[in-house]
Amino acid sequence: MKSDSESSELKIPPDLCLDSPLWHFAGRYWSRSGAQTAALALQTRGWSVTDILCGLWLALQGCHFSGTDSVAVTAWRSRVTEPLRQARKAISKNNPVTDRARNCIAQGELEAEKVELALAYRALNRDNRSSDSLSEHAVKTLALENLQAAAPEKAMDNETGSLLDTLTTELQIFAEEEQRTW
Amino acid sequence: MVMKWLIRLAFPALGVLVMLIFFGLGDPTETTPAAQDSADAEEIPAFEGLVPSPIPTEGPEIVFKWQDSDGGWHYADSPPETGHWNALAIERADQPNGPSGNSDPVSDWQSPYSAPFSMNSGPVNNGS
Repeated sequence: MKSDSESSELKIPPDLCLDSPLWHFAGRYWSRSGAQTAALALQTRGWSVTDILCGLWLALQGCHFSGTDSVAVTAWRSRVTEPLRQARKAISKNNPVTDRARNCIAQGELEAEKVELALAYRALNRDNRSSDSLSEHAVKTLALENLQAAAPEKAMDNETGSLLDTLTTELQIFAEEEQRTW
Repeated sequence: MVMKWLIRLAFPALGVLVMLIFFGLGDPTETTPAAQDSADAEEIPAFEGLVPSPIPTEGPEIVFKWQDSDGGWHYADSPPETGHWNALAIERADQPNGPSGNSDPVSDWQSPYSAPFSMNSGPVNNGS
């Protein structure tokens, strides 16, 4: 028997901004293959990519990340994003019968991740009001602190530490490139 | 006299040599305590701990799509620096297209799942 929280519709604000600065950061940062690989490797270890992106984006803003998700983000993730991901993974590739269904679900999963990031941005915008301008080195240090706050468990092995270092180094390079662009 | 003793000693020596050939030498005994070995093992981290293991890339690529001021559509593996863009999940290029795949370049932008694009670098995916 389903509980009320599982059967009721999620209340997503109709004015939710999907094209948020967090989403734009996610798109540009995700284009870096090293960062993407490291983030996906952490995802297989139980990390939330949304939390990773939030922590890194907040570091760029000079803000600390609490590591806790809002209720809206957690509900959306557990009831929409993750079921879509599981459904996509349940369908094998290279099967002409199911290829289109798999692709449609993958696109739906991507759209769900976009909404999840929008919900996360809304919560972050509410919680983090002050920010400081930081040097690239300070950004890397703060990013590591934020990622440690986003960790699913406190104990980390060498491989996890290496992946975090990859993410923060990529962020440092990203910040330098962004500064040159603007 | 010396020659006589050398011949007498040669036979036992030959016997010992034959025995060694058949039975060999015993295993070398440990010269260092086991505790020191375990301490060394702890000092050297495992190779698997230093090098991240490769992750499966079974997910689709993410391709960014946007329209310029002239109305032209663009597809790339990174979004534009400014302006609105959409992210598309597309099956990896090394995968054969199913029968539903649309290869018409004119209408492909309407069907994001098989849109043709020129990737500038390595494949990108969302782990999806």
